[in-house]
Amino acid sequence: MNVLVNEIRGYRKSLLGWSIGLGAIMIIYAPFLSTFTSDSASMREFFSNLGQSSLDALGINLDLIFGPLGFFNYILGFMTLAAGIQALSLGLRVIAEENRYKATDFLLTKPVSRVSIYLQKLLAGMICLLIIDLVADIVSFLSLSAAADSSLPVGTFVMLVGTMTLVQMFLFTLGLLIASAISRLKQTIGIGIGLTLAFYLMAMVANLLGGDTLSWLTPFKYYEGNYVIVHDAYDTKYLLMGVALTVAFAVAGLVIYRRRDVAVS
Amino acid sequence: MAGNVIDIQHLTKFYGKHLGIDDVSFSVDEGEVFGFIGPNGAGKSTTIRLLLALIFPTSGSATIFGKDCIKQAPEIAREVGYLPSEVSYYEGMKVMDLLKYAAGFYHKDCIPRIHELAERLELDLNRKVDDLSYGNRKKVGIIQGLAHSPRLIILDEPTGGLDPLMQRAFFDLLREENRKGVTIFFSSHILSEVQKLCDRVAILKDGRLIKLQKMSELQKDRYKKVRLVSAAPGIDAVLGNIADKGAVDLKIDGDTASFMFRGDLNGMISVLERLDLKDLSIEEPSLEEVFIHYYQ
Repeated sequence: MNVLVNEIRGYRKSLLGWSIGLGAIMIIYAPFLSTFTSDSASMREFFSNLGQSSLDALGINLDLIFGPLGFFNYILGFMTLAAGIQALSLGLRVIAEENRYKATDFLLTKPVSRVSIYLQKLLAGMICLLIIDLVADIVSFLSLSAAADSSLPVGTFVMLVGTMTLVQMFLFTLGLLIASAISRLKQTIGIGIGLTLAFYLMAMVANLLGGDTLSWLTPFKYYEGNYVIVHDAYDTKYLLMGVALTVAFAVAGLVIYRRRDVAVS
Repeated sequence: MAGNVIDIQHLTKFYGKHLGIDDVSFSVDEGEVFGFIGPNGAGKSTTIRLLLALIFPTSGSATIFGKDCIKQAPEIAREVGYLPSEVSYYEGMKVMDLLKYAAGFYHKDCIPRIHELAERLELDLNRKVDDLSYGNRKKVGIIQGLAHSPRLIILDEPTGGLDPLMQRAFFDLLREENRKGVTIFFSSHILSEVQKLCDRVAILKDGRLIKLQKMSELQKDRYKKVRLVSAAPGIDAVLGNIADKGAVDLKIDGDTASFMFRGDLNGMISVLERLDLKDLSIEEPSLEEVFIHYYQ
Protein backbone atom coordinates (compact mmCIF):
# COMPACT_ATOMS: atom_id res chain seq x y z
CA MET A 1 0.00 0.00 0.00
CA ASN A 2 3.11 2.18 -0.12
CA VAL A 3 2.22 3.65 -3.53
CA LEU A 4 -1.40 4.27 -2.56
CA VAL A 5 -0.47 6.20 0.57
CA ASN A 6 2.14 8.20 -1.31
CA GLU A 7 -0.32 9.11 -4.07
CA ILE A 8 -2.96 10.33 -1.63
CA ARG A 9 -0.34 12.20 0.37
CA GLY A 10 0.88 13.91 -2.79
CA TYR A 11 -2.67 14.91 -3.70
CA ARG A 12 -3.81 16.12 -0.32
CA LYS A 13 -3.61 19.85 -1.06
CA SER A 14 -5.60 19.46 -4.28
CA LEU A 15 -8.01 17.22 -2.42
CA LEU A 16 -8.72 19.94 0.09
CA GLY A 17 -9.05 22.60 -2.61
CA TRP A 18 -11.44 20.63 -4.75
CA SER A 19 -13.59 19.54 -1.79
CA ILE A 20 -13.98 23.11 -0.64
CA GLY A 21 -14.41 24.45 -4.18
CA LEU A 22 -17.15 22.03 -5.20
CA GLY A 23 -18.89 22.32 -1.85
CA ALA A 24 -18.83 26.12 -2.06
CA ILE A 25 -20.76 26.15 -5.33
CA MET A 26 -23.95 25.02 -3.65
CA ILE A 27 -23.42 27.23 -0.62
CA ILE A 28 -23.33 30.18 -3.03
CA TYR A 29 -26.28 29.12 -5.17
CA ALA A 30 -28.67 27.59 -2.59
CA PRO A 31 -30.01 30.99 -1.43
CA PHE A 32 -31.28 31.60 -4.97
CA LEU A 33 -33.64 28.63 -4.65
CA SER A 34 -36.29 30.69 -2.86
CA THR A 35 -36.19 33.33 -5.63
CA PHE A 36 -36.71 30.56 -8.15
CA THR A 37 -39.61 28.91 -6.40
CA SER A 38 -41.39 31.96 -4.95
CA ASP A 39 -41.30 33.95 -8.16
CA SER A 40 -41.59 31.05 -10.57
CA ALA A 41 -43.92 32.88 -12.98
CA SER A 42 -41.41 35.58 -13.85
CA MET A 43 -38.52 33.08 -13.84
CA ARG A 44 -40.51 30.87 -16.19
CA GLU A 45 -40.99 33.87 -18.47
CA PHE A 46 -37.27 34.66 -18.29
CA PHE A 47 -36.33 31.10 -19.29
CA SER A 48 -38.98 31.01 -22.02
CA ASN A 49 -37.44 34.13 -23.53
CA LEU A 50 -34.14 32.28 -23.88
CA GLY A 51 -35.78 30.14 -26.54
CA GLN A 52 -36.32 26.42 -26.58
CA SER A 53 -33.03 25.62 -28.28
CA SER A 54 -31.01 27.33 -25.52
CA LEU A 55 -33.02 25.51 -22.88
CA ASP A 56 -32.42 22.23 -24.70
CA ALA A 57 -28.72 22.87 -25.04
CA LEU A 58 -28.42 23.62 -21.31
CA GLY A 59 -30.59 20.63 -20.46
CA ILE A 60 -33.14 22.82 -18.67
CA ASN A 61 -36.55 21.26 -18.15
CA LEU A 62 -39.09 23.96 -17.15
CA ASP A 63 -41.27 21.38 -15.44
CA LEU A 64 -38.47 20.45 -13.09
CA ILE A 65 -36.20 23.43 -12.55
CA PHE A 66 -38.52 25.21 -10.14
CA GLY A 67 -38.39 22.37 -7.61
CA PRO A 68 -35.40 22.03 -5.26
CA LEU A 69 -34.05 18.90 -7.00
CA GLY A 70 -34.51 20.37 -10.48
CA PHE A 71 -32.78 23.54 -9.34
CA PHE A 72 -29.97 21.51 -7.78
CA ASN A 73 -29.63 19.44 -10.93
CA TYR A 74 -29.10 22.60 -12.96
CA ILE A 75 -26.24 23.66 -10.67
CA LEU A 76 -24.98 20.08 -10.49
CA GLY A 77 -24.40 20.25 -14.26
CA PHE A 78 -21.72 22.88 -13.74
CA MET A 79 -20.32 21.08 -10.72
CA THR A 80 -20.03 17.96 -12.86
CA LEU A 81 -18.16 19.86 -15.56
CA ALA A 82 -15.63 21.11 -13.02
CA ALA A 83 -15.43 17.75 -11.28
CA GLY A 84 -15.02 16.05 -14.67
CA ILE A 85 -12.03 18.21 -15.54
CA GLN A 86 -10.53 17.39 -12.17
CA ALA A 87 -11.20 13.65 -12.55
CA LEU A 88 -9.70 13.37 -16.03
CA SER A 89 -6.68 15.42 -14.98
CA LEU A 90 -6.25 13.23 -11.92
CA GLY A 91 -6.40 10.06 -14.04
CA LEU A 92 -3.70 11.45 -16.30
CA ARG A 93 -1.68 12.70 -13.38
CA VAL A 94 -1.48 9.53 -11.31
CA ILE A 95 0.07 7.65 -14.24
CA ALA A 96 2.10 10.49 -15.80
CA GLU A 97 3.42 11.73 -12.46
CA GLU A 98 6.61 9.68 -12.71
CA ASN A 99 7.23 11.02 -16.24
CA ARG A 100 6.81 14.54 -15.02
CA TYR A 101 9.45 14.10 -12.37
CA LYS A 102 11.46 11.57 -14.41
CA ALA A 103 11.00 9.22 -11.49
CA THR A 104 9.76 6.22 -13.46
CA ASP A 105 13.03 4.33 -12.99
CA PHE A 106 12.81 4.96 -9.28
CA LEU A 107 9.37 3.45 -8.89
CA LEU A 108 9.51 0.62 -11.41
CA THR A 109 12.74 -0.87 -10.06
CA LYS A 110 11.23 -1.37 -6.62
CA PRO A 111 9.97 -4.79 -5.54
CA VAL A 112 6.40 -4.15 -6.55
CA SER A 113 4.71 -5.36 -9.72
CA ARG A 114 3.42 -2.95 -12.32
CA VAL A 115 -0.05 -4.42 -11.85
CA SER A 116 0.10 -3.58 -8.17
CA ILE A 117 1.41 -0.05 -8.87
CA TYR A 118 -1.38 0.57 -11.37
CA LEU A 119 -4.09 -0.79 -9.08
CA GLN A 120 -2.81 1.23 -6.14
CA LYS A 121 -2.82 4.37 -8.28
CA LEU A 122 -6.34 3.55 -9.48
CA LEU A 123 -7.54 3.01 -5.95
CA ALA A 124 -5.81 6.15 -4.66
CA GLY A 125 -7.49 8.21 -7.38
CA MET A 126 -10.89 6.72 -6.67
CA ILE A 127 -10.52 7.36 -2.95
CA CYS A 128 -9.62 11.00 -3.66
CA LEU A 129 -12.62 11.41 -5.96
CA LEU A 130 -14.95 9.84 -3.42
CA ILE A 131 -13.67 12.04 -0.62
CA ILE A 132 -14.17 15.17 -2.74
CA ASP A 133 -17.65 14.03 -3.72
CA LEU A 134 -18.65 13.09 -0.22
CA VAL A 135 -17.69 16.53 1.09
CA ALA A 136 -19.38 18.31 -1.84
CA ASP A 137 -22.49 16.11 -1.53
CA ILE A 138 -22.93 16.66 2.19
CA VAL A 139 -22.36 20.41 1.93
CA SER A 140 -24.76 20.59 -1.03
CA PHE A 141 -27.42 18.59 0.78
CA LEU A 142 -27.21 20.72 3.89
CA SER A 143 -27.27 24.05 2.04
CA LEU A 144 -30.08 22.92 -0.25
CA SER A 145 -32.10 21.56 2.69
CA ALA A 146 -31.68 24.85 4.51
CA ALA A 147 -32.98 26.76 1.50
CA ALA A 148 -35.85 24.39 0.62
CA ASP A 149 -39.33 24.59 2.17
CA SER A 150 -39.84 20.86 2.42
CA SER A 151 -37.47 18.03 3.23
CA LEU A 152 -35.53 16.58 0.30
CA PRO A 153 -35.98 12.99 -0.86
CA VAL A 154 -32.60 11.60 0.22
CA GLY A 155 -32.70 8.64 -2.16
CA THR A 156 -33.23 10.79 -5.24
CA PHE A 157 -30.61 13.28 -4.05
CA VAL A 158 -28.06 10.50 -3.65
CA MET A 159 -28.84 9.22 -7.14
CA LEU A 160 -28.47 12.74 -8.50
CA VAL A 161 -25.07 13.35 -6.96
CA GLY A 162 -24.23 9.82 -8.09
CA THR A 163 -24.44 11.07 -11.68
CA MET A 164 -21.49 13.36 -10.99
CA THR A 165 -19.47 10.56 -9.40
CA LEU A 166 -20.20 8.23 -12.32
CA VAL A 167 -19.06 10.85 -14.86
CA GLN A 168 -15.91 11.40 -12.79
CA MET A 169 -15.13 7.68 -12.71
CA PHE A 170 -15.60 7.47 -16.47
CA LEU A 171 -13.24 10.39 -17.10
CA PHE A 172 -10.77 9.28 -14.43
CA THR A 173 -10.28 5.84 -16.00
CA LEU A 174 -10.13 7.42 -19.45
CA GLY A 175 -7.28 9.53 -18.06
CA LEU A 176 -5.53 6.40 -16.79
CA LEU A 177 -5.80 4.84 -20.24
CA ILE A 178 -4.53 7.91 -22.11
CA ALA A 179 -1.57 8.39 -19.77
CA SER A 180 -0.70 4.69 -20.01
CA ALA A 181 -0.81 4.82 -23.80
CA ILE A 182 1.21 8.03 -24.16
CA SER A 183 4.29 7.05 -22.24
CA ARG A 184 5.99 10.44 -22.48
CA LEU A 185 2.97 12.46 -21.35
CA LYS A 186 3.90 15.21 -18.92
CA GLN A 187 1.24 17.93 -19.16
CA THR A 188 -2.07 16.78 -17.74
CA ILE A 189 -4.30 19.72 -16.90
CA GLY A 190 -4.51 20.98 -20.51
CA ILE A 191 -5.72 17.63 -21.80
CA GLY A 192 -8.03 17.37 -18.80
CA ILE A 193 -9.72 20.68 -19.59
CA GLY A 194 -9.76 20.24 -23.37
CA LEU A 195 -11.16 16.76 -23.49
CA THR A 196 -13.74 17.28 -20.75
CA LEU A 197 -14.98 20.47 -22.42
CA ALA A 198 -15.21 18.60 -25.72
CA PHE A 199 -17.40 15.94 -24.07
CA TYR A 200 -19.49 18.66 -22.43
CA LEU A 201 -20.04 20.55 -25.69
CA MET A 202 -20.90 17.27 -27.37
CA ALA A 203 -23.60 16.75 -24.75
CA MET A 204 -24.99 20.23 -25.47
CA VAL A 205 -25.10 19.49 -29.18
CA ALA A 206 -26.74 16.14 -28.44
CA ASN A 207 -29.36 17.98 -26.37
CA LEU A 208 -30.01 20.34 -29.25
CA LEU A 209 -30.24 17.70 -31.93
CA GLY A 210 -32.12 15.17 -29.86
CA GLY A 211 -31.88 11.48 -30.67
CA ASP A 212 -29.47 8.91 -29.30
CA THR A 213 -26.54 8.83 -31.70
CA LEU A 214 -24.41 11.62 -30.26
CA SER A 215 -25.49 10.83 -26.72
CA TRP A 216 -23.61 7.54 -26.87
CA LEU A 217 -20.36 9.44 -27.33
CA THR A 218 -20.31 11.59 -24.22
CA PRO A 219 -20.46 10.59 -20.55
CA PHE A 220 -22.36 13.76 -19.74
CA LYS A 221 -25.38 12.22 -21.49
CA TYR A 222 -25.11 8.82 -19.80
CA TYR A 223 -26.36 9.87 -16.39
CA GLU A 224 -28.92 12.62 -16.80
CA GLY A 225 -30.28 14.29 -13.69
CA ASN A 226 -33.65 15.17 -15.22
CA TYR A 227 -34.20 11.49 -16.02
CA VAL A 228 -33.28 10.57 -12.45
CA ILE A 229 -35.72 13.13 -10.98
CA VAL A 230 -38.60 11.89 -13.14
CA HIS A 231 -37.94 8.14 -12.96
CA ASP A 232 -36.11 7.87 -9.64
CA ALA A 233 -33.67 5.64 -11.50
CA TYR A 234 -30.80 5.79 -14.00
CA ASP A 235 -31.44 5.12 -17.66
CA THR A 236 -30.34 1.48 -17.70
CA LYS A 237 -28.93 1.32 -21.21
CA TYR A 238 -26.73 4.36 -20.67
CA LEU A 239 -25.78 3.27 -17.17
CA LEU A 240 -24.57 -0.08 -18.50
CA MET A 241 -22.68 1.60 -21.33
CA GLY A 242 -21.04 4.10 -18.98
CA VAL A 243 -20.00 1.51 -16.41
CA ALA A 244 -18.81 -0.91 -19.12
CA LEU A 245 -16.63 1.78 -20.70
CA THR A 246 -15.30 2.87 -17.32
CA VAL A 247 -14.21 -0.69 -16.56
CA ALA A 248 -12.88 -1.19 -20.10
CA PHE A 249 -10.73 1.97 -19.89
CA ALA A 250 -9.29 0.88 -16.55
CA VAL A 251 -8.50 -2.63 -17.83
CA ALA A 252 -7.05 -1.39 -21.12
CA GLY A 253 -4.88 1.09 -19.23
CA LEU A 254 -3.61 -1.73 -17.03
CA VAL A 255 -2.81 -3.97 -20.00
CA ILE A 256 -0.76 -1.19 -21.62
CA TYR A 257 0.91 -0.04 -18.42
CA ARG A 258 1.99 -3.58 -17.59
CA ARG A 259 3.90 -4.04 -20.83
CA ARG A 260 5.06 -0.63 -21.88
CA ASP A 261 8.71 0.18 -22.39
CA VAL A 262 10.04 2.87 -20.13
CA ALA A 263 12.29 5.07 -22.22
CA VAL A 264 15.30 6.74 -20.67
CA SER A 265 13.90 9.92 -19.18
CA MET B 1 33.28 -21.47 -8.75
CA ALA B 2 30.37 -19.43 -7.51
CA GLY B 3 27.13 -19.53 -9.48
CA ASN B 4 25.90 -16.99 -11.95
CA VAL B 5 24.09 -14.00 -10.56
CA ILE B 6 23.23 -12.59 -13.98
CA ASP B 7 22.76 -14.81 -16.98
CA ILE B 8 21.92 -13.23 -20.32
CA GLN B 9 21.07 -15.41 -23.31
CA HIS B 10 20.76 -14.09 -26.87
CA LEU B 11 19.13 -10.91 -25.65
CA THR B 12 17.88 -8.69 -28.46
CA LYS B 13 15.98 -5.45 -28.33
CA PHE B 14 14.62 -3.39 -31.17
CA TYR B 15 12.89 -0.06 -30.59
CA GLY B 16 10.64 -0.27 -33.62
CA LYS B 17 13.20 -0.56 -36.43
CA HIS B 18 16.02 0.92 -34.40
CA LEU B 19 18.42 -1.60 -32.90
CA GLY B 20 19.07 -1.44 -29.17
CA ILE B 21 21.12 -4.59 -28.67
CA ASP B 22 21.58 -7.66 -30.82
CA ASP B 23 22.07 -11.22 -29.59
CA VAL B 24 23.96 -10.34 -26.44
CA SER B 25 24.94 -13.26 -24.18
CA PHE B 26 27.12 -13.29 -21.09
CA SER B 27 26.97 -14.05 -17.41
CA VAL B 28 28.18 -12.45 -14.22
CA ASP B 29 29.46 -14.58 -11.35
CA GLU B 30 28.52 -14.15 -7.75
CA GLY B 31 30.80 -11.74 -5.90
CA GLU B 32 32.27 -10.35 -9.10
CA VAL B 33 32.70 -6.70 -10.05
CA PHE B 34 31.70 -6.73 -13.67
CA GLY B 35 32.26 -3.78 -15.97
CA PHE B 36 30.14 -3.11 -18.92
CA ILE B 37 31.80 -0.65 -21.25
CA GLY B 38 31.21 0.88 -24.61
CA PRO B 39 30.81 4.27 -26.19
CA ASN B 40 27.59 6.23 -25.79
CA GLY B 41 24.77 4.59 -27.68
CA ALA B 42 26.42 1.13 -27.64
CA GLY B 43 23.46 -0.45 -25.84
CA LYS B 44 24.66 -0.44 -22.24
CA SER B 45 21.58 1.24 -20.83
CA THR B 46 19.34 -0.90 -23.01
CA THR B 47 20.87 -4.04 -21.50
CA ILE B 48 20.52 -2.71 -17.97
CA ARG B 49 16.92 -1.62 -18.57
CA LEU B 50 16.11 -5.07 -19.90
CA LEU B 51 17.61 -6.65 -16.78
CA LEU B 52 15.43 -4.38 -14.65
CA ALA B 53 12.25 -5.04 -16.68
CA LEU B 54 11.96 -1.34 -17.50
CA ILE B 55 11.79 -2.42 -21.13
CA PHE B 56 10.86 -5.74 -22.67
CA PRO B 57 13.10 -7.87 -24.90
CA THR B 58 12.33 -8.48 -28.55
CA SER B 59 13.87 -11.92 -28.14
CA GLY B 60 16.20 -13.82 -25.84
CA SER B 61 16.09 -14.00 -22.09
CA ALA B 62 17.85 -12.94 -18.94
CA THR B 63 17.85 -14.22 -15.39
CA ILE B 64 19.05 -12.72 -12.13
CA PHE B 65 19.56 -15.12 -9.22
CA GLY B 66 18.08 -17.76 -11.51
CA LYS B 67 14.79 -15.87 -11.81
CA ASP B 68 13.34 -14.57 -15.04
CA CYS B 69 13.97 -10.84 -15.32
CA ILE B 70 10.56 -10.07 -16.76
CA LYS B 71 8.25 -12.56 -15.06
CA GLN B 72 9.81 -12.34 -11.61
CA ALA B 73 10.94 -8.72 -11.67
CA PRO B 74 9.44 -7.72 -8.29
CA GLU B 75 11.06 -10.70 -6.52
CA ILE B 76 14.41 -9.93 -8.12
CA ALA B 77 14.10 -6.26 -7.18
CA ARG B 78 14.16 -7.17 -3.47
CA GLU B 79 17.81 -8.17 -3.86
CA VAL B 80 18.90 -5.54 -6.36
CA GLY B 81 20.05 -1.98 -5.84
CA TYR B 82 19.99 0.22 -8.92
CA LEU B 83 21.55 3.58 -9.58
CA PRO B 84 20.38 5.09 -12.88
CA SER B 85 22.58 7.39 -14.92
CA GLU B 86 20.13 10.26 -14.57
CA VAL B 87 18.78 10.61 -11.06
CA SER B 88 15.51 12.41 -10.71
CA TYR B 89 12.83 12.25 -8.06
CA TYR B 90 9.43 13.55 -7.09
CA GLU B 91 9.71 17.23 -6.43
CA GLY B 92 8.37 18.76 -3.26
CA MET B 93 9.56 15.80 -1.21
CA LYS B 94 12.22 16.00 1.45
CA VAL B 95 15.20 13.70 0.93
CA MET B 96 14.36 11.71 4.05
CA ASP B 97 10.71 11.30 3.00
CA LEU B 98 11.81 10.07 -0.41
CA LEU B 99 14.27 7.61 1.12
CA LYS B 100 11.60 6.39 3.56
CA TYR B 101 9.21 5.94 0.65
CA ALA B 102 11.87 3.93 -1.19
CA ALA B 103 12.66 1.90 1.95
CA GLY B 104 8.96 1.18 2.45
CA PHE B 105 9.05 -1.22 -0.50
CA TYR B 106 11.47 -3.55 1.28
CA HIS B 107 10.42 -5.56 4.25
CA LYS B 108 13.31 -4.53 6.44
CA ASP B 109 14.43 -1.62 8.58
CA CYS B 110 16.62 0.48 6.30
CA ILE B 111 16.66 3.64 8.42
CA PRO B 112 19.97 3.06 10.29
CA ARG B 113 21.71 2.28 6.99
CA ILE B 114 20.24 5.43 5.40
CA HIS B 115 21.71 7.56 8.18
CA GLU B 116 25.05 5.79 7.96
CA LEU B 117 25.31 6.27 4.20
CA ALA B 118 24.15 9.89 4.39
CA GLU B 119 26.90 10.60 6.89
CA ARG B 120 29.57 9.00 4.74
CA LEU B 121 28.43 10.81 1.62
CA GLU B 122 27.85 14.05 3.51
CA LEU B 123 24.24 14.46 2.47
CA ASP B 124 21.74 16.53 4.44
CA LEU B 125 18.57 14.45 4.69
CA ASN B 126 16.37 17.38 5.66
CA ARG B 127 16.69 19.25 2.39
CA LYS B 128 14.09 19.22 -0.32
CA VAL B 129 14.87 17.12 -3.37
CA ASP B 130 14.18 20.09 -5.68
CA ASP B 131 16.92 22.14 -4.02
CA LEU B 132 19.67 19.57 -4.52
CA SER B 133 22.52 19.93 -6.97
CA TYR B 134 23.05 17.18 -9.53
CA GLY B 135 25.85 15.66 -7.46
CA ASN B 136 23.69 15.62 -4.34
CA ARG B 137 20.83 13.99 -6.22
CA LYS B 138 23.29 11.35 -7.26
CA LYS B 139 24.08 10.77 -3.60
CA VAL B 140 20.37 10.31 -2.90
CA GLY B 141 20.42 7.76 -5.71
CA ILE B 142 23.36 5.93 -4.19
CA ILE B 143 21.71 5.81 -0.77
CA GLN B 144 18.38 4.60 -2.08
CA GLY B 145 20.20 1.98 -4.15
CA LEU B 146 22.22 0.65 -1.22
CA ALA B 147 19.97 1.22 1.81
CA HIS B 148 18.25 -2.16 1.63
CA SER B 149 21.60 -4.01 1.51
CA PRO B 150 21.10 -5.63 -1.90
CA ARG B 151 23.00 -8.72 -3.05
CA LEU B 152 23.44 -7.25 -6.53
CA ILE B 153 24.17 -3.62 -7.31
CA ILE B 154 23.51 -2.37 -10.83
CA LEU B 155 25.05 0.96 -11.73
CA ASP B 156 24.49 2.81 -14.97
CA GLU B 157 27.23 5.41 -15.55
CA PRO B 158 27.39 6.01 -11.80
CA THR B 159 30.04 8.67 -11.30
CA GLY B 160 28.78 11.51 -13.50
CA GLY B 161 28.22 14.59 -11.35
CA LEU B 162 30.31 13.37 -8.42
CA ASP B 163 33.49 15.30 -7.63
CA PRO B 164 36.73 13.26 -7.43
CA LEU B 165 36.65 13.04 -3.63
CA MET B 166 33.07 11.78 -3.67
CA GLN B 167 33.90 9.36 -6.46
CA ARG B 168 36.56 7.90 -4.23
CA ALA B 169 34.21 7.65 -1.28
CA PHE B 170 31.68 6.00 -3.55
CA PHE B 171 34.18 3.49 -4.94
CA ASP B 172 35.32 2.69 -1.39
CA LEU B 173 31.70 2.00 -0.54
CA LEU B 174 31.35 -0.30 -3.51
CA ARG B 175 34.54 -2.17 -2.62
CA GLU B 176 33.26 -2.65 0.91
CA GLU B 177 30.00 -4.04 -0.37
CA ASN B 178 31.90 -6.30 -2.73
CA ARG B 179 34.01 -7.63 0.14
CA LYS B 180 30.77 -8.61 1.86
CA GLY B 181 29.99 -10.75 -1.18
CA VAL B 182 27.82 -8.32 -3.11
CA THR B 183 27.99 -8.63 -6.88
CA ILE B 184 28.44 -5.38 -8.78
CA PHE B 185 27.42 -4.76 -12.37
CA PHE B 186 28.67 -1.48 -13.58
CA SER B 187 28.35 0.32 -16.91
CA SER B 188 30.59 3.12 -18.05
CA HIS B 189 32.06 4.77 -21.07
CA ILE B 190 35.13 5.80 -19.12
CA LEU B 191 37.77 3.11 -19.30
CA SER B 192 39.84 4.27 -16.32
CA GLU B 193 36.75 4.15 -14.09
CA VAL B 194 36.19 0.53 -15.00
CA GLN B 195 39.87 -0.27 -14.62
CA LYS B 196 39.83 0.90 -11.01
CA LEU B 197 37.13 -1.44 -9.91
CA CYS B 198 36.36 -4.34 -12.18
CA ASP B 199 37.42 -7.98 -12.31
CA ARG B 200 36.02 -8.61 -15.73
CA VAL B 201 34.60 -6.49 -18.53
CA ALA B 202 32.21 -6.90 -21.39
CA ILE B 203 32.71 -4.51 -24.28
CA LEU B 204 29.71 -3.45 -26.24
CA LYS B 205 29.67 -1.64 -29.55
CA ASP B 206 26.75 -0.82 -31.83
CA GLY B 207 24.49 -3.07 -29.80
CA ARG B 208 26.76 -6.10 -30.02
CA LEU B 209 29.04 -7.72 -27.49
CA ILE B 210 32.45 -7.64 -29.09
CA LYS B 211 34.69 -8.76 -26.27
CA LEU B 212 34.47 -10.32 -22.86
CA GLN B 213 37.71 -10.49 -20.92
CA LYS B 214 39.41 -10.27 -17.57
CA MET B 215 40.54 -6.83 -16.55
CA SER B 216 44.11 -8.10 -16.27
CA GLU B 217 44.04 -9.09 -19.95
CA LEU B 218 42.60 -5.77 -20.96
CA GLN B 219 45.37 -4.03 -19.01
CA LYS B 220 47.91 -6.06 -20.97
CA ASP B 221 46.32 -4.91 -24.18
CA ARG B 222 46.36 -1.37 -23.04
CA TYR B 223 47.22 1.28 -25.58
CA LYS B 224 49.05 4.52 -24.90
CA LYS B 225 48.56 7.58 -26.99
CA VAL B 226 51.96 9.08 -27.83
CA ARG B 227 52.58 12.49 -29.27
CA LEU B 228 56.00 14.05 -29.75
CA VAL B 229 57.73 17.07 -31.25
CA SER B 230 61.31 16.75 -32.44
CA ALA B 231 63.83 19.59 -32.27
CA ALA B 232 65.84 18.27 -35.21
CA PRO B 233 64.87 16.92 -38.64
CA GLY B 234 65.00 13.21 -39.51
CA ILE B 235 61.98 12.15 -37.52
CA ASP B 236 60.82 9.85 -40.34
CA ALA B 237 64.03 7.87 -40.33
CA VAL B 238 64.08 7.34 -36.57
CA LEU B 239 60.43 6.34 -36.29
CA GLY B 240 60.44 4.30 -39.49
CA ASN B 241 60.63 0.97 -37.67
CA ILE B 242 58.69 1.81 -34.52
CA ALA B 243 55.79 -0.29 -35.78
CA ASP B 244 57.95 -3.33 -34.97
CA LYS B 245 57.95 -2.28 -31.32
CA GLY B 246 54.15 -2.06 -31.17
CA ALA B 247 53.14 1.33 -32.58
CA VAL B 248 50.15 1.70 -34.87
CA ASP B 249 48.53 4.53 -36.73
CA LEU B 250 51.77 6.51 -37.03
CA LYS B 251 51.23 10.04 -38.29
CA ILE B 252 54.12 12.37 -39.07
CA ASP B 253 53.58 16.00 -39.88
CA GLY B 254 56.80 18.01 -40.16
CA ASP B 255 58.49 17.86 -36.76
CA THR B 256 55.44 16.35 -35.04
CA ALA B 257 54.54 12.69 -34.80
CA SER B 258 51.75 10.78 -33.09
CA PHE B 259 50.90 7.10 -32.75
CA MET B 260 49.16 4.57 -30.56
CA PHE B 261 51.43 2.20 -28.72
CA ARG B 262 50.92 -1.20 -27.21
CA GLY B 263 53.88 -3.29 -26.12
CA ASP B 264 57.09 -2.94 -24.14
CA LEU B 265 57.45 0.71 -23.17
CA ASN B 266 61.21 0.32 -22.81
CA GLY B 267 61.42 -0.73 -26.45
CA MET B 268 59.59 2.42 -27.44
CA ILE B 269 61.74 4.63 -25.23
CA SER B 270 64.92 3.17 -26.71
CA VAL B 271 63.73 4.33 -30.12
CA LEU B 272 62.66 7.75 -28.90
CA GLU B 273 66.06 8.21 -27.24
CA ARG B 274 67.53 8.66 -30.67
CA LEU B 275 65.44 11.80 -31.22
CA ASP B 276 66.19 15.27 -29.95
CA LEU B 277 62.81 15.74 -28.27
CA LYS B 278 61.24 19.14 -27.75
CA ASP B 279 57.98 17.78 -26.34
CA LEU B 280 56.56 14.40 -25.45
CA SER B 281 53.20 13.31 -24.08
CA ILE B 282 52.07 9.79 -23.29
CA GLU B 283 48.35 9.64 -22.49
CA GLU B 284 45.56 7.22 -21.78
CA PRO B 285 43.47 7.02 -24.91
CA SER B 286 39.76 7.59 -24.58
CA LEU B 287 37.53 4.58 -24.89
CA GLU B 288 36.53 5.76 -28.35
CA GLU B 289 40.17 5.82 -29.42
CA VAL B 290 40.71 2.35 -27.99
CA PHE B 291 37.76 1.15 -30.01
CA ILE B 292 39.00 2.79 -33.17
CA HIS B 293 42.47 1.30 -32.87
CA TYR B 294 41.81 -2.01 -31.28
CA TYR B 295 38.31 -3.26 -31.66
CA GLN B 296 37.50 -2.38 -35.21
